[in-house]
Amino acid sequence: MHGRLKTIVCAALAALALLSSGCQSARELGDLVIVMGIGMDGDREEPGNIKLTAQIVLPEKISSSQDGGASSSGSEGPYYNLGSSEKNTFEAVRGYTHMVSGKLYIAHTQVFVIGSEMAREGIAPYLDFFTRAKETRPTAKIVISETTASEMLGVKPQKEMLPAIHISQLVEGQMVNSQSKEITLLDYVKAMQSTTASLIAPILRIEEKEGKQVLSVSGMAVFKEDKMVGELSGDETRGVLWVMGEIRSAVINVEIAGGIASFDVLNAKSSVSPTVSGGKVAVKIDVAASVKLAEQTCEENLATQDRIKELQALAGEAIRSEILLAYQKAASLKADVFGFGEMIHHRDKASWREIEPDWDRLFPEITLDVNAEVTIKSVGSLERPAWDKTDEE
Amino acid sequence: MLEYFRKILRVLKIKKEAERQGQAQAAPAPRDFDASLDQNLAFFRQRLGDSSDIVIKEFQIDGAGGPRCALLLIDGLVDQENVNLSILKPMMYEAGLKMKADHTGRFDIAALSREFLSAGEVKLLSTLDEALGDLFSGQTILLVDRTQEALSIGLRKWEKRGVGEPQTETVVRGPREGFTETLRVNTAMLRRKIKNANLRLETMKIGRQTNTDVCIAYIEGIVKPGLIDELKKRLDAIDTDSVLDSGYVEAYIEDAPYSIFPTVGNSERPDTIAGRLLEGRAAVIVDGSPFVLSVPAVYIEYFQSPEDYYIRTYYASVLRIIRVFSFLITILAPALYVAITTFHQELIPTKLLFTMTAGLSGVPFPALVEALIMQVMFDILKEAGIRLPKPVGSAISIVGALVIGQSAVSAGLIGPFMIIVISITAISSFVVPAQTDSLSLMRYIFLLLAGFLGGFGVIMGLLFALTYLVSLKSFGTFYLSPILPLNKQGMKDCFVRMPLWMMMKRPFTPASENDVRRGPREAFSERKGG
Repeated sequence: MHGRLKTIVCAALAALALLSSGCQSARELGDLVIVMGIGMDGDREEPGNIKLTAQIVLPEKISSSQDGGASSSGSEGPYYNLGSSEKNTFEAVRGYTHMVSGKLYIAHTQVFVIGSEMAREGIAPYLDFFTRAKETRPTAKIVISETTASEMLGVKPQKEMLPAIHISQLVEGQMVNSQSKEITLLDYVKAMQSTTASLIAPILRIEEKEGKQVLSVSGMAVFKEDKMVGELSGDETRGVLWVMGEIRSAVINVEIAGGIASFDVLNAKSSVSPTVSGGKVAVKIDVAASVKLAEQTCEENLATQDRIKELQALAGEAIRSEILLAYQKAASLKADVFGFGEMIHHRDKASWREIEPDWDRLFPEITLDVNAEVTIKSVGSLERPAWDKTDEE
Repeated sequence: MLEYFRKILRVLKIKKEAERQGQAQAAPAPRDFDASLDQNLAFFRQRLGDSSDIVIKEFQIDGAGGPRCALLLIDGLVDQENVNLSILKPMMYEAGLKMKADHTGRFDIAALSREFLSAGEVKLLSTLDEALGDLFSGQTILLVDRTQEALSIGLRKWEKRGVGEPQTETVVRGPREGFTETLRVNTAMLRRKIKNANLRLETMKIGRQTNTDVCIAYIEGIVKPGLIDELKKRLDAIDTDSVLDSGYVEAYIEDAPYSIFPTVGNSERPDTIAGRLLEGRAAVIVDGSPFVLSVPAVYIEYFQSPEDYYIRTYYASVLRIIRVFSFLITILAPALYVAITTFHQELIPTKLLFTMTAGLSGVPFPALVEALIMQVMFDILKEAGIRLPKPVGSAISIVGALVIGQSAVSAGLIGPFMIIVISITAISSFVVPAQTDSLSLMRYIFLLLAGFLGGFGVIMGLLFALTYLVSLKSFGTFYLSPILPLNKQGMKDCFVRMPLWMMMKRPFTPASENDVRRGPREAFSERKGG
């Protein structure tokens, strides 16, 4: 008798627990306001305000446009951009509930596009909301736009249906040329944690091509703390990436025999060893890259022992000069984009404590010792250029 | 609350009364045969009433003038032709000359059986109740005047289904015979598989009204020690009116009667049951049921098909893993779908999210309701498919397929993804056939948990189920063995099926006395080398 009563009470309690928890955080798929990209600008009319641009997906249109369904005039495409301007990000995000049918769903947000104007004033206060929100993906990308972010999100891509996805894929694709690099929200948080390391973020530009607006990514914005202080060009960016050992693929050009030889980087490794002595910092950088010959424009067959040796030396020199170029730019901005400071911090805590307050002065005065070793692994499917008619014994 | 207590009191009262009645009915004193044939026949006539299928044939040995006899048999259970040939003929025409009453005026009925009856199975009876019992199991009873004993002669023959291919556990490779409804045929099939003096078949009767023959089968020396005693204890304790199928017996002997997990195994295949006997388990064969029970049951046996042992190791192992995988799909797929679409949309790949959202536009129900509708609809169709008369079957299945597959989506009642999920769930559920009942219950439980609590609920449910399964035992064996507690021998026949020659020992703990399955390693490697 007692046992049965107990079971009934237990069952009732369990049922209550289930029912009272009642779908609190449940959201039906159909009710989601899926935001693919968020643009952030300063509000021109009301200084100090943030102007958010949310790119909201219209899923029904995506599947219907696959059947070639006609889309309405004006803003075509399966999305619409909606702006909201408030004093802070959270309020701006909540402000959308006045305009759309529910809370913004930002778990699938691919990119945060930040207007460069706002970036120069500091991004930390505006990104704080997104780094706290549990929905946000830490892998969402951060992109700095040359002009306003809302403009960037409005450029209709040719292949993709959604500008946000297009931007995100564009940034991801940069690893092929290594002239820019994708930066995620997580990278941002990591960089903010460090006292000296500078955040860099890819820059998005609008170009006119054949009468159409086309987005392009090149170079990177350099941040000091949370404020954008300058830009790295494509080559300078690559210089940084050589040092960080993050080159997966790149094109190196060298001039030889009255033409150009191009190499495709197969893989690259770097080792960086900073040393502190007598208040001076010296950094030794060794880069080892293996490449393959991708193209030559000169007539002479380059696939000979001598030429290959020469080419390897030239390519090494090219890498070295890119690194030096990058360092010069970083030094002029006093922004430690390489993270040398962090490296010293990890290896030699005692001396780091001494030089840390002085880092801004020390960083531009670092003595760099750069060595780049390049190995040509392959000359491609052809042993010699197709036009080379000499018979080989 | 008060009402509830009253109800309990009432239930308790009824229980007590039933116990009292049970005691009153139990153990009536056995009645001996009377010396007079008329007295005995009167007893039978009174007990049997005037059932039309009971035949009482009175005759005299050696025709007129000889000692009076009577045959009792049940029409339809006895081979009448054989009765004429091997009882009536010899007794009426040949026995008379020699059958003489001894000095006390009694017949030596044993001599009668020895010298005249050509029937093979003859048994001496001493009480009327025994005779009554035998009569109903198809024996022919021979009563002779002036004797206080009777003969029970086995000339049974009744219409029975032939041995056919089992309906539930079909295999591609392997024997195609399945148990039938007749106990003797079933025991014979086991005997044919295990030609060994140690195969014991002990029969008892269960069911106050039905007097059903129930047979325990085990292999002496291999069976797990203590198992038979426990099994007999539980079978003896059964006090019920009727046993119409082995399911009745199962309900009375299972370890966890409230559990949704079966703690008694069953099979329709003699090879499966023989295999289990050889592992040290025991079987319970119930007359009238082609499903033979086996104890102890372990959870992994629902993933084992007899075919696994007949095909080669690698493929058998792949099939095992696929079965485990389908098991997970069938209990979890709808739950995970509901959990992900209502709580964890961030887990859906972005592009899939668009198509899913688009597919759901216009669907009025939350995912949980949608899933419940579809699941119930499918269960209705399944049930209808089983009960339908064959000729209507195809018509209904077409309507069902159209209604579920097409119209429900185009009418905007259900999203297309739900159809996919429920279909794969339904298909997977048949991969682990012996368990369909508990699977479908679990599916509903997980579905509700997912609908209310999301992924958290599913995880809690899994943890609870696991904890519960770990605590279950079947006849002293852990339900999750050989996984928990880990048993190396058993693991060879768990998620993978190791080659038969690697399974050196029987898989159960505690091991039986004779736990070595095959010859010593040396002998085997010699053969392999040769």
